[in-house]
Amino acid sequence: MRMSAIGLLLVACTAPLAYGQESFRVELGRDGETIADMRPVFMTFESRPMPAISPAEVVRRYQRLFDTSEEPEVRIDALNRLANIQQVSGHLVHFEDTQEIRRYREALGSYESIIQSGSFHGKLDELLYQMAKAHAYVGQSDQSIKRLRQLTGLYPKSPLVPEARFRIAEAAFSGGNYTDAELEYGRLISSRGGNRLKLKAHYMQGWSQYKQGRDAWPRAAASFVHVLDQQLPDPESIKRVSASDVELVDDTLRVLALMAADSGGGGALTAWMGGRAEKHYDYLLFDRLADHYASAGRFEESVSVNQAYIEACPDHPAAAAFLAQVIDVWTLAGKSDRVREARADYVFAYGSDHRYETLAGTHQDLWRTLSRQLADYYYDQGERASGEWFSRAAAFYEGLSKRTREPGEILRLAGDARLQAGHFRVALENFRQAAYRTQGYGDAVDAAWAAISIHRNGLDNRIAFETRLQDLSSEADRFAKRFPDAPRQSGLDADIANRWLEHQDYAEARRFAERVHAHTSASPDERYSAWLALGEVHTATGDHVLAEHAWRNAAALISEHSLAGVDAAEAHEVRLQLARAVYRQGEVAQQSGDTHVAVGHFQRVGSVLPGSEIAIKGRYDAANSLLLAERWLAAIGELNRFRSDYPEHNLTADISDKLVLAYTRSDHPVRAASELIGNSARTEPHWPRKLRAAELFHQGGALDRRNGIYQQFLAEPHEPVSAAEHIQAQTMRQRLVESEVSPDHYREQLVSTELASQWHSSDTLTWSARAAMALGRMSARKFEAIALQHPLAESLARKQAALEQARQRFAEVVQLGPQSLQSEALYRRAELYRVLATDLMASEVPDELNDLERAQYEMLLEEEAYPFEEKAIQLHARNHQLLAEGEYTEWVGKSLEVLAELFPGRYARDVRWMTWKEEPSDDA
Amino acid sequence: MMPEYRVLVMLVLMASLAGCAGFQAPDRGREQASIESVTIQDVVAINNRALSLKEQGRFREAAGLLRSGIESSPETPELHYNLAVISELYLLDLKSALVHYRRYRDLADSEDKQVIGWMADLERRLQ
Repeated sequence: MRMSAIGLLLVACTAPLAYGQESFRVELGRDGETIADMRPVFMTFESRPMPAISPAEVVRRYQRLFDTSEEPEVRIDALNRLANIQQVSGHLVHFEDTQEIRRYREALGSYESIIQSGSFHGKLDELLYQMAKAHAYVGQSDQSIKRLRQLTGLYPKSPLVPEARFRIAEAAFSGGNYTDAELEYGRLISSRGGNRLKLKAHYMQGWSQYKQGRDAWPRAAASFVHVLDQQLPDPESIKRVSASDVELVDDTLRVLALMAADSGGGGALTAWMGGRAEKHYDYLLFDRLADHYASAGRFEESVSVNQAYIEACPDHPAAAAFLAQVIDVWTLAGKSDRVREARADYVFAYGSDHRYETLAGTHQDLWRTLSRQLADYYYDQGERASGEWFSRAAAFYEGLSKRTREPGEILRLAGDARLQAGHFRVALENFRQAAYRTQGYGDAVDAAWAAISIHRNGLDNRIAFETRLQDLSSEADRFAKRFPDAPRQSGLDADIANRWLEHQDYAEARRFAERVHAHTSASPDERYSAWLALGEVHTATGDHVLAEHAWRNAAALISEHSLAGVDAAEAHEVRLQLARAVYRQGEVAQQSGDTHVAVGHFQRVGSVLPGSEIAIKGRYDAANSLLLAERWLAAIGELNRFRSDYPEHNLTADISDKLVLAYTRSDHPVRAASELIGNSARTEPHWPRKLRAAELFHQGGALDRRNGIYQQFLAEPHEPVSAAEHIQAQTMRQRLVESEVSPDHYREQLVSTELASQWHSSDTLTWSARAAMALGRMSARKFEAIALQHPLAESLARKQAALEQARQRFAEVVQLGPQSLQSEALYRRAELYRVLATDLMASEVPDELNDLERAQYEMLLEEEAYPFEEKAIQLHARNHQLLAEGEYTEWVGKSLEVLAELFPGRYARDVRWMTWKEEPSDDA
Repeated sequence: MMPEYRVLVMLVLMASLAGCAGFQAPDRGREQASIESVTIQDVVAINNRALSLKEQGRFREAAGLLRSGIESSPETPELHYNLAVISELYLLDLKSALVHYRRYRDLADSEDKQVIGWMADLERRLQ
């Protein structure tokens, strides 16, 4: 508990009574315990080499001289020589006490003889001193003091006087005459010379004053302070106190503390030292006072003294020791709470780096020890009860970590405490520091894992820590870099991969999942999880080759290991994903036009998940791929097999259409049509398929089958609702006409339908116009075939009716037809009238008419025929006028020919060819 | 671009020249005179070629060829006659027909009553 400056060398204080109770019992270093031990200080020792003979032989010879000589001076000289040899030779020559006492008793006689004879030629002060010593040695203290007083009285300037006075004062002190002792010591102090003894004189004067009672204590304190001033003149001197003076200084401190303890404590000390901080060693006194109180069980007062000094001199180098002493005091007092507070005070007082640096090494050690104790204590408290304990513990751990050479464990504990306190951000930093910024920490991997756990728990809302998946990933990356062989890494990476997957960040998900497989120690469960993540990633990014690889590996793990939480349903799901990956490869190949590969993939699906829906779809799409690649024959085979294998599957319903396409595109229209007809009953309405079939029959030249469908269709009432439907029906009629299937019937339908329709096309108009023309020609032939016979009126009526029918058809041609047919229609209409006129003129004349009547009858016929001829000329002339609108046609030419006959004056023109005949040459 | 009938005129003229070469050695002065004036052979060739075109229904080409012939040989009545017929019946250009009938009448050696009748009809229709 003592200050280190004095080295704690003085374990126990030596009672001052030791100096006073025995004569010459003073601490004079090598002067010995008592005056008897002392050697004459005047005895000079010549540093000459020892004689060649042994010291024992020299002693024996001097002893024989001392014993045999009758001369006092010789004997005293021999005695001095003996003492000198003993001092120089040390252990070589040892005198027994009885021998010494006998020698000095005999010497006293010699001294007396010398003094009485007055013939002594040496120094009497020295002789008196030797006599005093001899008296003291043989136990004659009074005689000794008497000789010393004689010396001081007779020879006041003798260099032996200071010692003589000291020994006189000592005798007074030993005799309890403290006033005299104070006086004698004072004389020595105030006299000249004897400096070597003055310090001890001050010290003993202080004791003499102390022994006189409380009233004299201020004087005693001054004496003691003087001693300290002498012994400790500057701060560095504390370290240089000689071993012989340590006890002196220590006792001085002790007695001052004793007095202060009974004089009001620290205040008295301060007063005695002339004020606060007036003495650089004041801390030693306060320390000693605090010690005194503590040893006396006055703990509160001890602590007060310590704290008072700390408050007064907080920056003093000893302040830390005072703080530590408070801890010790409370420990001594058994006050554990106060001990803890004192420890905390110590730690807080030197918490800053600046303050900490002022501490000595031992105190820095102490600071760390206390910090750890406090931290551990509060951590334990935190585990027992809620509250701020963990937070306090963390603060101590964190402070300690900065001053610990290998702070890894401390930082991890700080992290744990922060974690328990809910200070997750700080906890994270502590764990990181322990894990990554601490050299040689054996459990760094655990600290690093704790940091990761904070992120994971935060992400999962198990703790109130706001973090991001990116942060967790960064933490995991750091973990992986620092602890590449950590067995927990693979599980972590698998977890993070799946988390990124949920965020649809496929690049990160892939990175972590792939890192799982880089760990040879990854468990089957972890690898399975990673493969699942990779499967999802590659599926999402469209890399179905890699997706297949991932799903296949996942499936393999399922089959090879018993994986946690993986049941039959999940196993099936994995197989399904694998099948999808294969299927999608087919889709990709199909889109890129690599049909062969696409078909292979589609067909491969069945081997992954036989009988599954996706396998069936794979078969179906294999056929589709063949269709897209226009590999018609292969597609036809695949489609037929699919329909055979899965007749009830819903996809089979589309097979027929695909077959129709394949047959059609492979130039098998009749087979396509047959496929359509064969499945037309399955779909409603069936006519579209039948009509498509009819078209295909048409393309394939199966006209009979085509016409059958057409006839069936046209026999049913179908009112067209669009131009397309109208054209379609007209096309059927036209084709039937062309196939000579009831041609006139369908010509009539063509004409009537076209005339009634709101929709037309150039084809339907042409077809219907031609149909009308054909019907018109047929009617014209009927008309021409009717002979005008008697009775004329009847035949003429029939002929006119036929004419009207034909005329109507030709009018329909004009209404429907294109320019080319109009000319023919006009011509034929004109010819109807011309023929009628001609037939009228040539009609049979009744036989019963006479010549006159015959002539009149013929004139009447001419009159009847003339309007028809005019009508014929008019219509032919209209036909001729069509030249102004277009090209010359054969029907215009025919009309011109007729006009040339009917109206030659206007239309009968012969062009004139020219000929040339070479005239004979005159020269010939 | 040169009209087709013009091309035909050129061809006919060249053919005529080639035909002449068979009977008479060409000399420079004769050749020059042939280009500048049209011979009767040329007129016959033009007329008959135009009527061939008419037979093919190529009435406008025939009329153009005849007009070209008339430009080269305006005093040939057959050219006017045939142009008048084609204009009347096949081009329905009655005015042109009347003009060339009249010119034919003027050039003809003798009066052609039939043509005069046609002219009267035309004049009536054009009124």
